[in-house]
Amino acid sequence: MERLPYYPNLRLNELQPFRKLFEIESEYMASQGYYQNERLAALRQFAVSYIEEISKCNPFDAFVPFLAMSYFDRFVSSHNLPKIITSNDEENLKLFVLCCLTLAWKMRIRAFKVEMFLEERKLKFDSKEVRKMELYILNALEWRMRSLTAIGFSGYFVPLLGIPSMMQPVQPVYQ
Amino acid sequence: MDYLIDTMDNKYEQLETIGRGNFGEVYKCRDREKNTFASMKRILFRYQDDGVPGSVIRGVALLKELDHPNIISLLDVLDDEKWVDLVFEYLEMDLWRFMGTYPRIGKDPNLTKSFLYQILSDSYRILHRNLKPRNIMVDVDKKIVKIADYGLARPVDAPVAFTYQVLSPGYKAPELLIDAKYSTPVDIWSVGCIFAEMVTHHPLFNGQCEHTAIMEMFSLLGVPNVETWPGVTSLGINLSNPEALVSGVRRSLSDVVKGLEPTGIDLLAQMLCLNPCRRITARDALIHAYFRNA
Repeated sequence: MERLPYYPNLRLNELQPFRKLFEIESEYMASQGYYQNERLAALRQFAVSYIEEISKCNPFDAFVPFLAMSYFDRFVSSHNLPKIITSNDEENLKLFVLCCLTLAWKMRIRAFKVEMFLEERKLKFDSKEVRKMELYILNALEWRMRSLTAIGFSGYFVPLLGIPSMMQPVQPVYQ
Repeated sequence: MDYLIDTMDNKYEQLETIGRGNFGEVYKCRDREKNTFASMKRILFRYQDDGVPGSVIRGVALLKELDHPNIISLLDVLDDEKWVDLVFEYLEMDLWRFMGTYPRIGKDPNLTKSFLYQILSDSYRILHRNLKPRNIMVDVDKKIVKIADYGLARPVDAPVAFTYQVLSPGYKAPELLIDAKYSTPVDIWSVGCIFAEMVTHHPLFNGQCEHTAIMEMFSLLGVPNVETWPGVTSLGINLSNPEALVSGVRRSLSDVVKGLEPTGIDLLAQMLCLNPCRRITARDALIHAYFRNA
């Protein structure tokens, strides 16, 4: 099999998906300037702590809150929060953050049920409001929910660590 | 924001119902602005307390990534209180009807070659599992084929074969019929069957049930043994009496698929290798000698 001089661990036919990943990744990133915006940084801090609080479960899947934050970042960096609960801004913000999490959970776990999730945490959100907010987020993110994050690249770097070949790195899968 | 007022009625004119499934209904519709047709699948939210169904989110997210000229594309996702509408590219003709409607053009060897190439160039991207002439759409003017089956949780698949749904063991790979583990080679098998059918305009295997399908395969391609397919004995077929697994007169592929050039027969034989591990891959098929003089 032909090897490429500048990518010693990649075969010719593996380079294409690698380039493709870079191309795709930009579609899943927050807009430029987002991380310098102080107002949004405060909002983000709230989101992280609220997600930490409500994502607790057993067994804990760290990828779910991680994915939820990637939705949050993409949304907040280019859209205004929708007003679904008009009477209470804080509840509205919580609902938004919560829906980033339910969407991430649904992407990850087939058996996830919103109703049970709310019940177990004694959260009093109306299921209609949850759906409205979810739809709003989905539309704003153009339903592109299979976020390509840093984890998608790991398969290409793990071989560089010189780990024995029997521990095959997980390749990013587009299905 | 304008995406919230982009409702079905504003953007599309709903025409006749062209299908019905347990997920909801399929309509033909017209894009008011572009004046083009589209098909639209309406998926009702069945469980009111669960937000947007996870199967729909996962399916649509996947479709959003599939941007390929040989795949029926998802044009739009519109939502309402009670449902989401998935709007797909619309093509009137599927490959099955195309072969019936254009018996002469449909047998043109160059067209067969081109269609096969197009189908293969898409098929390694996803596992379809159910490729057959009924779910391959044909753009007759542009001579383009587009696959309309994404092998996904069914609600989000592009609508195909509205009139009747036939269970088609005739295109299923042997490992699917005997319940073994399967992967992308199952699609290559189906594409091989479709390839043969494009040449002859007759299904290669007619198998009405899985048992007769297996018999037809073995009659044409030989009964596998531990040498041609290591591990085959553990798959649950009784191979102790190979004669009982074949029927009729033994014929070769070139007898059955008459008119196909020798390189084509060679490619077909490699696509119809019973052992999935030895079956040719889509990538290798695309660089096979058969396509060299295309």
